[in-house]
Formats: sequence, structure tokens, C-alpha cells
Amino acid sequence: MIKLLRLDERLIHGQIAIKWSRHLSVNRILVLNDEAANNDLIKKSLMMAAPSDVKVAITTMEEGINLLNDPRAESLSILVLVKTPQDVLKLMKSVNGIKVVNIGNYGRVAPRQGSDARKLYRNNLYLYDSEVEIIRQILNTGVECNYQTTPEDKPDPVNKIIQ
Amino acid sequence: MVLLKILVASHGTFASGIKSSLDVLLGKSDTLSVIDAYIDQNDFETQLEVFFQTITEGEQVILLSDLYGGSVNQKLALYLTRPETYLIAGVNLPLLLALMLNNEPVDEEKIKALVKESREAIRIVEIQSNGVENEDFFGGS
Repeated sequence: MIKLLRLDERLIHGQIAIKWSRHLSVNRILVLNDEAANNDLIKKSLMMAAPSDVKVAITTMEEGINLLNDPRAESLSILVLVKTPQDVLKLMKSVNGIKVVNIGNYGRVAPRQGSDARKLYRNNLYLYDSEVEIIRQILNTGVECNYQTTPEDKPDPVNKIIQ
Repeated sequence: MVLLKILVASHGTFASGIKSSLDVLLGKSDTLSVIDAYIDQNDFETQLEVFFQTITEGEQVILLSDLYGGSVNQKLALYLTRPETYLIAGVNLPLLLALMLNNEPVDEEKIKALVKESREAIRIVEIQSNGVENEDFFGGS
């Protein structure tokens, strides 16, 4: 089962994967990102931050969606990581059983659209209006959605953040 | 809740440098104080006294220095007669991070364990695993 779907533009980094995977007691981490899956060097550098006691797979969006929809995924305990709000929305539409979406870290390093900067919503959350729209669509699926960078932070409901 | 206080002291600005890294990683904190020794007219021993004046009786204090054989460490060592006081020389960022993330009171055992882990944090980087192939995702526990 999917314990958490997390949006983090840095995917796996520093203590984050370790803390979240311990906090959720997962036995799998699945990173869905086309660029990383197709680039060996990026894959390997992401693996440096992987906890040693959890299996980590880095796949394309499509491969990852297939893994998550596989009936064998039900008996696993999975933390899913994606890089963009669009990817979160794609998963909400293609995968069943996502009960909680965690917005952990987005908008500081994501590529700019044009010359405008993103707007600051929280310490680790910057968004363009177009991305706010995507998040609204995520919220419309009815899924619980919180801004929370680390498990020690208080979960901050996203529906209040993007009034 | 601040359980203990940490002081990093160094020759020059290593101490405030390592603090600035921590601020990036964890955000600012009241737990950590720093002393950059020997960079201005301030007397290091006086700066140390000032730090200990902010400590309440019985409060746990972890002192961290840059070099075991250095005078900074030697002066810190004089405070080991105070109860609940620990001194570690050769601080690195992983150790400081682990200490800041610790949320229980410490004791000898805990300090030993954290120091041991921090030694392993200095490591040669080799490009390693790719993660599991898709089928293996379902195998094992």
C-alpha cells in the first residue's frame, strides 16, 4: 500500500528520505521521474541519500504507475516520491489507493517559466499561479494534502495555504 | 523544547561557519552557540565564561572543538569538572547534525555512539547502486 505520496523537487536528499521512511515504517521507496530513470548518473547520485535498509527503485512515471497498480504492491509499504505538481496530479489520476499527499519541498530550484519568479507560500513552497491550479485539481480529488517538510513539522493543510 | 546546550569553539571562523551550514539544513536554533577564537581582541577564556553564564545549573552541555591538541580544546577541557558536561574534539558537520537532531538527554553511551557514527560519515565517494530493477521491487521483505 502507498503510505505517502510526497512532492519534493529534490526527490531523495539528505536526511529527508531517511526520516520519512522511518517515520512511516515503509519497506519500499519508489521515485517516479523520467529524467532520473533515464540517466544513470542522476540515479546513482540519488541513491547516495537512500536509507540502507529500504529497497529503493527509480523508474519512469509509466513504469512506476504500473508497479503501483500491480496487486503485489498491496502487501508492501511504499513511500512514493515525485518532483512536480503535475506528476502528483498524474498519479492521482492513474493510481488507486493514494490516501495522503505530502507537499514537502517545491519551487526553489524548479525551472522557471519565463522570467517571473514563483510566489512564496511557505518556507519550502514556491508556486506559479498555473501550479496553484494544478494543486487545486489535486485537492479536488478529495485526497488529504498537507505541507510538511519533515515529520517533526506540523502538517499544514494545503487547502488553507492556497486559498 | 531545549534539552541541552551545544557550544562549538574553533580557531578562527570554523565554528560560525559550521553553524551557518546548520542554519541552512535545520533552520536557526537556540540550542547552538559558537565561539570563533583568536580572530579579534576578545579573550577566548572570557568568551567561554560568558557562555557558561548562560547555562543553568544541572543543564547538559556538549562542547565541541576543532582540534584535540589545540589550545581551544585545552581551555574547553577545564570545564569538564562541571557535571553534565561533555567535550568532543574534531567536530564534523555530520556529528553536529546528529547532536542537533537528538531529542533526548545524553549520556556516555549516547555520545560514544554518535561519535562512532560521525567517524563513518567521513567516507570516500564511489558511484554505487542503481536501485532495484522493477521485478525485484516485489521480492524480499
